[in-house]
Amino acid sequence: MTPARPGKLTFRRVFPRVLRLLLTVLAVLIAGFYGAANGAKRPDSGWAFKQLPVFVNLSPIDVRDRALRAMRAAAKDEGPETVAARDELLRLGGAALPHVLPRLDSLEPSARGRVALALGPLALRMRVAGVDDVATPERALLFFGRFWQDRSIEFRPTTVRRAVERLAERSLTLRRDDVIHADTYALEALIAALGKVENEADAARVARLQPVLMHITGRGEAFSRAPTRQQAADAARRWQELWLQEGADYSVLEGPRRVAALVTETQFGKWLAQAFLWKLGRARDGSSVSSVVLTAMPGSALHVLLLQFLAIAIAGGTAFWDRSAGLWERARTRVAATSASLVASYPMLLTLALALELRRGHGGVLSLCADALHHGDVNLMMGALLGLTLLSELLVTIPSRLAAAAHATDELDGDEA
Amino acid sequence: MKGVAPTLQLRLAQAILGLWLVLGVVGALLPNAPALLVGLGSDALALGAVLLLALGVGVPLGALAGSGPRWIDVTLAFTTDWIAAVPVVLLLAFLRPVGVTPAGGLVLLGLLRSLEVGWVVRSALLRAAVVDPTWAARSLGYMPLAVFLNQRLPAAAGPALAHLALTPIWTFLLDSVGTAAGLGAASSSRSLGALVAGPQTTAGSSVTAILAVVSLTWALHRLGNHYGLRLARK
Repeated sequence: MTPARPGKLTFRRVFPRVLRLLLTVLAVLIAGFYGAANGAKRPDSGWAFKQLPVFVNLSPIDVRDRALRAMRAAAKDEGPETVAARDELLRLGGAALPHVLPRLDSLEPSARGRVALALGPLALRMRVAGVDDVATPERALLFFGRFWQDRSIEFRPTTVRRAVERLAERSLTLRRDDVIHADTYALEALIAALGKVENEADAARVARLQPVLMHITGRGEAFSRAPTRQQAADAARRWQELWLQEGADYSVLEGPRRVAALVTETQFGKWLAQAFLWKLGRARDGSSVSSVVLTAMPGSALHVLLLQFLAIAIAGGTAFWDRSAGLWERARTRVAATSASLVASYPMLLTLALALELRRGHGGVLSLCADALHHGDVNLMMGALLGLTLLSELLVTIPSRLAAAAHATDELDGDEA
Repeated sequence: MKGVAPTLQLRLAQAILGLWLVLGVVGALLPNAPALLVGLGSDALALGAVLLLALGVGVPLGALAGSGPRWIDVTLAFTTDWIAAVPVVLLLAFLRPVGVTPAGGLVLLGLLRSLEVGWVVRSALLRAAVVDPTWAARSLGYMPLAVFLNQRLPAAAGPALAHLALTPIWTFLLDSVGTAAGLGAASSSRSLGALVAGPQTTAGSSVTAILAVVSLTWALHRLGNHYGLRLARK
């Protein structure tokens, strides 16, 4: 096989380069995220996932763990812990019922009554009981015993998904009630049903699901009238963000999902999900990270190019001092040596460019990165870091490889001559 | 005249280095020393640590990458690619929680410098290999280590020493830019770089600090030229 001519782009040459770029990006992301997560520990950082482990979560907590813990605490006599447990059971809602109700029998009678009473407000929210049904521990216990006998079959993913699909198609009182009966158990299906908002039909679907989501979670704002596409998209995004933050509180992690949770239920996993779903997410001030970074990149590129040009010009200029060989030869040697050492000195060049940006007060991608790291803004920091990696690849790595390939071509031509 | 100027330059470089060391020790030991002296002491300590690590780790690493197993070269190339994507100031800020003690921070700084020096040595060795006239002799059983020690390493000494001589400016810039960006100084918050970028700086202290750093860089460059290259030629 004849080897390809030096300088020519072939798969064998491009593939390792791309692989190396991917590995570089991965290494930059991991080191950068470690720093960003440490910076985000400050109270005012606004990073919603700081309570999670940074890279690996060896014991991810799901709704079953939370529900059982809350049940045990709610079963105890009155105290601050019991009050918090009742609130937690109410927050977990219908998603906790498949784990709590079958285990009520394992508690002693008085504790069983206390837990059933704690679940009373939930039954009212689910519109499956009247106030009298859950007014005392005994009545509440009786009610939930019957409820689970009659309705446990409805707490299946497929049943709930079908109910949500029906509601998404058309909003009728009965269809709404079917979903409300499942409460937070239907949350995952509801969020999935929101989907992408691209046209008026999608906006109408979000409008149908929004009141039910608000009823179940007690969060969100009602639409004053039929929402515009943008309003619906914003609302859908807010619900999806909520699911990203609290999804594990309402779903069971088992099988492959539990294995995936080792990574997904971490700060890095959550950032990655945000980056993929919403183009690097939003900065602390609510602006879109991708647009902020793209706006800042040309300024930084200009600074870096200016410094590179300056370094090479100075190297060429020093040829006037030394008189060991011809002027052209001296200048060429010095410029070549400086260009080669620019690859090794590039991090320093970037530091100088950062100093330039700080001095000029122009928010380039470098000062953006430093500022975000200083304030613990993880999304902005990581977005700026990705922009920086791209800049480095475009301004230094690829040109240096092309220069090396061109050099090889020159040598080959020389040999042939 | 031509012979006197280099000798004078050498003496001046020795004097600058000696003065730095004396003032640095005074600044480090005196309890209530002025900020400038404290900065000199802090920088002298940081430079010592970074230069030792860069020489002890960077040069052997570059030598191995330039003439040893290919995987070392590939790993060094990848690491350099990786580091080239991030300004050192930010990289230090990312990794600072790993080396939380001041000594850990200096080791981190030294290791980063070692990688740069390693890359410079490796590039210089590969350039020297291109013009190596002994390849035919080596193919007949000539000792490669002798070629390496007598020809290639001396050829790499010049660029490596020139790169190492820039270390005072390197640490000064990292300290000052890190402080100005609110990320903290790279070596120490009492360093000259931090002093210049900090709020308590005056025009006089800034000019003196910059002069001190530039003169030390020049002195190291001159001394490296003299002793380093002479050692390499032996």
